[in-house]
Amino acid sequence: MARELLRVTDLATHYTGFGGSRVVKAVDGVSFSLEEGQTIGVVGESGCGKTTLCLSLVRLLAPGAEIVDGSIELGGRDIMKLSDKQMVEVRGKEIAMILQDPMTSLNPVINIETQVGEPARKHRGLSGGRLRERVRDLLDSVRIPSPEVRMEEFPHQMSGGMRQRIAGAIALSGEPRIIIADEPTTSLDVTIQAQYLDLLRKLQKETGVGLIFVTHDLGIVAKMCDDVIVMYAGKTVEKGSVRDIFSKPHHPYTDALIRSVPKLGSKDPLYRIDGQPPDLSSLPVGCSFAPRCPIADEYCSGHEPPLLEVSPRRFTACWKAEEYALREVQP
Amino acid sequence: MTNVEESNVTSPTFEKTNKTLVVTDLVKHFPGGRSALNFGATKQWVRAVDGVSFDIAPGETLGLVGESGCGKSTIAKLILRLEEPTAGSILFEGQEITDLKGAQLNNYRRSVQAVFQDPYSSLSPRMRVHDIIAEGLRIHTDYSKSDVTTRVNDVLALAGLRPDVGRLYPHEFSGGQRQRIAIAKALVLDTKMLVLDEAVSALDVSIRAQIITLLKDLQQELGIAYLYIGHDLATVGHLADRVMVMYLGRVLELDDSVDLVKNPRHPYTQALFAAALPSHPEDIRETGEQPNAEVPTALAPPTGCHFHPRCPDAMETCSVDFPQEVTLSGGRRISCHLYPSGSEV
Repeated sequence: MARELLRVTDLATHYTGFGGSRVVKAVDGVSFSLEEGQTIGVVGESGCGKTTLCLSLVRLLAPGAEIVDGSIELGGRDIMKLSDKQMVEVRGKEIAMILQDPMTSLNPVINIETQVGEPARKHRGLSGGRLRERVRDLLDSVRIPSPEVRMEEFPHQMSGGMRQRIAGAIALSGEPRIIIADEPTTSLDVTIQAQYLDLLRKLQKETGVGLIFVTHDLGIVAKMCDDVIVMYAGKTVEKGSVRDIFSKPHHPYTDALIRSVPKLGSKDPLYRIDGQPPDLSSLPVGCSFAPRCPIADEYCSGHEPPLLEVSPRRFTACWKAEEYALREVQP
Repeated sequence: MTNVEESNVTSPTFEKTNKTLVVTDLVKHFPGGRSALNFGATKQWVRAVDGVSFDIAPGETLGLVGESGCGKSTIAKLILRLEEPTAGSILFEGQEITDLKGAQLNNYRRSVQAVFQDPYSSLSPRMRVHDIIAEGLRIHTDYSKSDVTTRVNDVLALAGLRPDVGRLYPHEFSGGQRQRIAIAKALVLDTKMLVLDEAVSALDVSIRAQIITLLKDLQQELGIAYLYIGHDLATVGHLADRVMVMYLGRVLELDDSVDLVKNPRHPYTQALFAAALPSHPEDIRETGEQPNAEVPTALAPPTGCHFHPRCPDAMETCSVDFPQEVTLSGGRRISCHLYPSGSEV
């Protein structure tokens, strides 16, 4: 069994607005653990709480948002109990993050060498020639051609794919044990995306870093992840190994997500869920998915389903999971 | 063994065809590359679209794929007459539209409409939904107030929205509903063709399926021709009857979407499909190394076949001559030295 890097237990992050009269439960009771060399996918539609989950893990929440419950243990240490100063030592050194948009997440007036070198200088104490060498190696490892020249340049001189790889180099620079990637390839072309994902996987093999992939794209989950957490309206609706869940989802929402994605070369009509995700500040009573669910009944809209282990390492929050799991699946 | 014949796509088709749109040898060059350093030097040109020919029949969807900078959006703008072509012809229902002016151009715009990627920026935030949709009617028709309301309600229903949403503003809607409003707006006149530029890319997965289904149903009902521009191969392949693959301003391959996905022949199309994400963890293909994945700039495209520096099958001739387009039996158009004119496959 590989070493456990991160254990998140019953995490709840809420946004409070209008003088406390309105509470948005962006993340509501999410638990998972991440091991060395493992990749976990967090998948869901906009507003399901996936980005808030990431920001909670590095404690970079916006004002108004607060972790109201649960614990985040990083290598056995509860980071909820750390001071802000101690958190600075955690970010970049133990957990690093790659953000969605490489066009805005790099500083336009600081050269690549300084940006890529910062975590290595700050967290690993490198300086001078050794720091420069480290930056060159990092750029080389993310396949930036002629790194010696490129490190002197600025973000606007790079293409989108190169900028995203530089964001990756920055994340690796402090030698973290965990990298959180929030939709890292949405703005990239398919060929560049494939190359970037292959690169992340290769770097993971070399360093054993644990990856958390936050995405709305099930294709990325299928390609990259070992385990997946499916989120809907702030809650985990299904959790387990990617292979199990893609082969036979036990939650009607997961099933609908997978079947509503066009498949290459198939002209079959897409499965369609009507309606849209609920407003997180006024969630329906009972199961949040019930209003859109094809198999929901009265009980579902009155009672919230708990997340239960339906088979080993496989969790589903649905009153009808057992019944749904027994359905005939068309090949 | 199948025969390869040299195609004759470059000759203009002047006789009336039953096609909605016939584009022949379309070229658009933008002036570019001027800077303080080469000020006064010979002007450089960005060859955004460089000799592109295709057609779309009524009720048909042509998918257009390619990486950023391949000229897909420029083609959309040229068809919408938001840009003037450098050369070439665009026939809409047999009529040349590249030189239309004034009333005639207005008339053309009644029939060709667009739906863009981002429904958050393509709808005016200060207009009510009813007025956004009715704008086309106000400009192009002399409908009475009640006729306008009837027509607006009709297209709202077509797009799957209730008539009472007309009094609301765009910010009161989710992304998927906004895209439905944009579609209703595009259908309000006697639309014969829609240009869909990444029209579902910004939407969530479950909403995307709704809009794709809506677009397909509308096409079946109204017989409109679609030009769907996208980067997601699975979505393009799903929506389109035929798919055209572009690279740096040129068409590299074009065929029926099912055949093209099943059997991509051009090394670039093969690379694109190899890079597509799997739909199931068991479908993971080895994408293999792509030694040089950066797309060269259209300002200084590589000599010969533009794709040769990235091509795994590049031969000597590829860096010298651009390959002649051939039409293989079965109708596939391809521009690649692996399929020389007059040879056999």
